[in-house]
Amino acid sequence: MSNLVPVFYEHLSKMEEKQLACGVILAACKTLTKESLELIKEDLGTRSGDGSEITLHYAHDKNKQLFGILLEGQKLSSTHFYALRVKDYLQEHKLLAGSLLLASFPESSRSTGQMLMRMIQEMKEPGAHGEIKLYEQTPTQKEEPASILLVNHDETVNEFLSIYFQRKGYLVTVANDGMDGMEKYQAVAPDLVITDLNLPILNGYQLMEKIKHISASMSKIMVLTDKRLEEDVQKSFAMGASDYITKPFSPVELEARVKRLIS
Amino acid sequence: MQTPLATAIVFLYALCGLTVLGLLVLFALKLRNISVEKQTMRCLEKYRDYFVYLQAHGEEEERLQVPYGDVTQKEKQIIQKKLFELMERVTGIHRDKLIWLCEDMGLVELDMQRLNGRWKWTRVDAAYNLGIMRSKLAVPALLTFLQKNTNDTSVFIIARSVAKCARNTEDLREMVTRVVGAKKNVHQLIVDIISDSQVDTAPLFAQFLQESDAELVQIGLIGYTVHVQPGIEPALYQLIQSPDKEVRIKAVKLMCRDIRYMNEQTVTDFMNHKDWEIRAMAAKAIGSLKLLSYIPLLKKAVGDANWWVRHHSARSLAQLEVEGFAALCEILQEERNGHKSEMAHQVIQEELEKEKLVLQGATATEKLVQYNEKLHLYRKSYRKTISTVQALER
Repeated sequence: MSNLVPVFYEHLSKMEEKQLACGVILAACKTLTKESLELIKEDLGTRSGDGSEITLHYAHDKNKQLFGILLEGQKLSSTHFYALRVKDYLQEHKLLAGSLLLASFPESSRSTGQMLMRMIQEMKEPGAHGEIKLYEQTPTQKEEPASILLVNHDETVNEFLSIYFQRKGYLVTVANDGMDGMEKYQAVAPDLVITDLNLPILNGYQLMEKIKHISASMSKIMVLTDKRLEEDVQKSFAMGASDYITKPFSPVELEARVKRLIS
Repeated sequence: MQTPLATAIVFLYALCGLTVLGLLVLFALKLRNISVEKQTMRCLEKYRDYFVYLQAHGEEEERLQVPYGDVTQKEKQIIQKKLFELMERVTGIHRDKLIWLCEDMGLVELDMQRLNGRWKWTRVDAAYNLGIMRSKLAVPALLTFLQKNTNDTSVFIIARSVAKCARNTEDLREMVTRVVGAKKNVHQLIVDIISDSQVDTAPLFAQFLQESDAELVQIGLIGYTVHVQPGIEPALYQLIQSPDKEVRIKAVKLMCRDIRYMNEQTVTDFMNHKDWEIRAMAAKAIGSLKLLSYIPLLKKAVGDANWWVRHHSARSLAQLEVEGFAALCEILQEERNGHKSEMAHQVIQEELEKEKLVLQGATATEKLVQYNEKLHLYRKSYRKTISTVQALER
């Protein structure tokens, strides 16, 4: 068992008992001496991004090369923001050895103990160097998560939606054009395809046509486009689209529609 | 004394010099662009995790935090561009949180300062940015800028920014008045600009309908065409009497879309109106709204002096089932020559051809019966032509 557990367990239990929020950041880092740990504490300080004072607890597991920070009273977004600082600090001092994982109680899990154990477990799997991962135990984690294929030429939309849907517990695959979308569709067989109509190589209609052609029990298709003409809406539904949303879109509304289609 | 050859050589040297200078300037610009691009890439890479943080927590209660540490002015502008890309694509709480972040980062303040800049295009760019950030604080300054800047098309950029930032309908009204003062006949564009506002625009369009300025009234009418709202009947009835022809036409167009306005008195008034456009619109509406009771009015209008009125009346009669078609055939019986019978004849032929084509692909008995009935009526009519009937039977 990692020696982070005894250090954090008491604090976490207290937080759980009082139902107070708390964040946890775990970072894969090189072996730290007692002095360098003290220096980190001093340098990172006790102020959050908005300048308010926060209570922090630090721990280091030499064997597992894990560095952990517990942030009392901090929600997931504040913990995430603090993790950016931690990552930069460790990278600047050449102490970072892998990825970072962060979570918060009660947003990420209802049990602090379970959350900590699972996080330590997850840190055993090597992530990309410097990657900041969000640990989230959604109620449906035991089930197979639904998969979404995003086909859009707009990188901003692709990036935003992949982050957004991953946080909501979906498996997201991204394609930048119609041909890429087709190949990924065949490889992944997603539950839902969210496609634009303006796509290079194969446009949205051609993509829908091909999907219809290759799979009898085809995935649900949602169109997300800036085309607002009635004929585009009509044609999309005629070609098998289950929903049609125009840009700019409300992510909350989009997710509600996705949920309805997939369930 | 300088010979012409020497002059030509000097001229060539000067030309070469200028070309080299131009190439050097181009090269310098290219290098500058590459450097800016690299700087942007470095900055985006530096804040990559920060952008993930922004996109991952757009739905939560807490405000998004500004990047920690010292952020240079250049970095702020690059971050602003990235934020704008997101703000232009999403709505709701996600966009609101990005707007608050822009305020917290001092980007609104920065563009408010740029709005007083020395160069015009800096000011226009600042106005555009303030519009995207939907800064309510910027409205008075934007309206002043709009007032000063009425000569070119940048007026629309500023107007759109005012619409996006507008705090209430008064701001929108102010903006519209200023744009209308500077540019004429841009009603559709103004309605499109107003639709970018987060304010409820229905009361504004209703106010415009009561105005004496025909430009504002037209904007109100177009606004109502786009955003249909009940409760404007009294204003519309008044506008039909407007001295401005465009206003009269737009008001009638709006009324012709709704069956509730098409009572006997109104339709009779429209069909006898002095403007042929209004008569034509009313004739067309009767057909598309399937108002069978006005067949006598249409039948009379097929003999109108204006071709469009005759055309729409005859086409509408053809749309009104067998009864309408029968009225067209009656015209053939009643009138031997002239525009009226010519138009009726033409539409009858077109209608029978069209229905014949439809029947080729369909098996519906009802359609077949209707077609036969129409063909029978046509044959019975006085002015039937052998060739047409034969052609149809072929």
